[in-house]
Amino acid sequence: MNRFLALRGWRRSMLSALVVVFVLSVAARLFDAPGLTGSSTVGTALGLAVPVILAGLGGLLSERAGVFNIGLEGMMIMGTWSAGLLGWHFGPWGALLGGLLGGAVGGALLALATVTFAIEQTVAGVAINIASFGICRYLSDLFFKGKGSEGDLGTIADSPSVRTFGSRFSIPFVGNFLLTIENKRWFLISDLAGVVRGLTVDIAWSSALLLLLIPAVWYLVWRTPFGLRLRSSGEKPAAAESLGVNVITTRWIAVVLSGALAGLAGSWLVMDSLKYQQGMTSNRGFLGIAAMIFGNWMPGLLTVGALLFSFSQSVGFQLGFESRALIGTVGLAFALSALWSLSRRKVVGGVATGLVAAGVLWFALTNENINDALIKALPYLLTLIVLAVASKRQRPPAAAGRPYIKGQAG
Amino acid sequence: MSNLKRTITPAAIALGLAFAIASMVLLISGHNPGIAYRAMWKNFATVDGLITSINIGARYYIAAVSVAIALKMNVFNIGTSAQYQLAAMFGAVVGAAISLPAPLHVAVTLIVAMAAGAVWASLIAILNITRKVNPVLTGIMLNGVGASVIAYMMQSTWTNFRDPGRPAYGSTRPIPKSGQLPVFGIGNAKLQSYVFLAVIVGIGFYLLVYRTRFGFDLRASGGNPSAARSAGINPKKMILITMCLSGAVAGLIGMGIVLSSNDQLSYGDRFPGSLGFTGIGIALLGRNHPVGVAAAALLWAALDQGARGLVTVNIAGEIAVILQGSLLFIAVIVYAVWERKSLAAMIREAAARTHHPRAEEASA
Repeated sequence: MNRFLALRGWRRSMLSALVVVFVLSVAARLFDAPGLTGSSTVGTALGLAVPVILAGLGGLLSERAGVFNIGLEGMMIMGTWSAGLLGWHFGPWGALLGGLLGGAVGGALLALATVTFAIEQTVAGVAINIASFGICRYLSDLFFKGKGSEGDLGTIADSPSVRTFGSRFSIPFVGNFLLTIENKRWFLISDLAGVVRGLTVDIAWSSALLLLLIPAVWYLVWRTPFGLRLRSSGEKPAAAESLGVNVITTRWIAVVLSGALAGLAGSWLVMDSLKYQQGMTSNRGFLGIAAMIFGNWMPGLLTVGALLFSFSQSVGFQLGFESRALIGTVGLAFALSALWSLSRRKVVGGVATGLVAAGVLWFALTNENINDALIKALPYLLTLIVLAVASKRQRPPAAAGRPYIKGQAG
Repeated sequence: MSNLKRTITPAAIALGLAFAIASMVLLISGHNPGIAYRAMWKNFATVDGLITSINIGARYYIAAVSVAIALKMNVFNIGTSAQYQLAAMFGAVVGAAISLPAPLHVAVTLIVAMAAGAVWASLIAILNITRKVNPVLTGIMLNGVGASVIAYMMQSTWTNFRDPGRPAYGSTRPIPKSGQLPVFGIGNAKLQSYVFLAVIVGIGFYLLVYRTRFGFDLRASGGNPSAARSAGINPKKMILITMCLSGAVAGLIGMGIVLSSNDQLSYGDRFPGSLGFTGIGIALLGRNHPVGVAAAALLWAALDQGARGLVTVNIAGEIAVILQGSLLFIAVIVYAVWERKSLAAMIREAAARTHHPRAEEASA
């Protein structure tokens, strides 16, 4: 365990988390927006992050094996549909199984095209995205339209209602204690309590269960023989094959698992909305790919990327000055990075960043109510900014995106 | 001739397989495929059906060409969705606000739309050049941002884009007569002159890519980036120009809807939002070639048109989407397998001619 912590730079992660909470609590005071670090904002963000994380993990598995999977969105759509079908008939476990199977079918389609027939990977993924829409609408017409009980009839665009897990999950004993501290409104301490409470108390069972897949994927890819074969298929397939790895089989398994993960993201969505609805994935598959690239093809950082996106979404749902405070936080972050540049004698960059920081802070201070449209755009804008900052140091798997034909090693 | 045969055969195989799959789906769901296809054909093979297919095929074609230009250098412009909608909004606003003699009025409107599309697309290139951000991701994020920009501008009293005369409609002011693209009546149907714009775009695309120095550089950068770089082609400049071109063409996608009197004549709530993704599919189906894409766009539109006739026989029109999707999926597989086969045959032939030692290997 200790080695695991040391390897992942555990101390550094805790410290960065502390800095983030510190900046957030400064902004919460500055803009009179206690909800910024409130447990409800953080809890909602954690939930919203789950489908994006799962899609990202799916992308990670398949790209680490050498297959660029832009079809995650389509696989998630197929997952939502079959989660709707099995969830409607068999409850929450049915929804989980349904999402898993539906996504896996999508993954198998992609594997057939990209691994067996070795065709252009983006092309096959896009084809799956387009086809999945029509397939699900057609199937809804057959399986959902007019079915279900009185007042709860399915249509061509949605299923009858699906049950989710009855209770919610909380880590025992800590809840009340943290709530007391959160309500005191002590600087930083109450904010920390709020964030921790959001992450540990009153979590939907579907989220709690599916989040376990983060360490599971990490273990599979970095701690098992199969994981080693998977990564070698994504880095140097010809070399892997010459060492006896069956690249074709490995990639097949990886892509099917990747689809299953995207499908489970669909299960989460269905259990969250309590039914299947057409278009409910709203580009989360693509956001998963963004989180994966942000996370440099590693599960931990990928989760951070997804949380960043979902946090800004969740802040947008708050009714007070939270959105304004989030923009203020961005300004503060820019200001910190300007100071950092200046302290390292990068004058031009520092001053430029400082000017941006001043502009953003000025905007946040002078606009009490942020326009709805801007609030909706914030998650995308923030992701873009973060990608622009982080992208230069990325290192994708060397063979990701390249079709491999058996015997290529010669 | 053999060249033509080589292109058409795999396409025909793919089409046959796609129809086989759709027939199977229909059979499993208890419908007679014969009845379904007859209903589709009946709705398509009329003057009205044909003209509608051509009108819609034209906008599909432009959407696909926009994607194909970028794909020629292996850049995926997934951001056309926001590009064409922003362009249509700005085009509609400017087209309704100015008054000029007819041809000039239309030209200015189209240029505004193309510029708007190009600017939004250039952001993808700029972030890629300066910060190495993956263009697919930027495209997706900018689609999200673009939707918000449109929502903001359509609500705001400051921009004043919305037509106060039609408050429930949620659209820009209508385009005056001098700003409209002419429409030709054929029987009861109306052919939009936007179709000719699509033809011009197609010819321009062909000339640019296959007959100019820039087109050569473009294909070289797509085919072998490192070779292109050592030949002195600046990849950063190429990506910027390519994205601007792609965005400018994307700017035209919605203009048939905005400028034709038998269509919406404004930008508003009823404006279609999915043409970007359809364009990607059609570009891939037509293999990024000006003629192939045209055939694919017309086929896609014909299937759409046919599907509207399925109501009469109580079958869900979505079978057409399944047809389109499986056609795309199968077509790309068949193309790739076919290409590999003919390549192997060529190697075998050449080896047999020269008695090269690789001959046995290639035939094994």
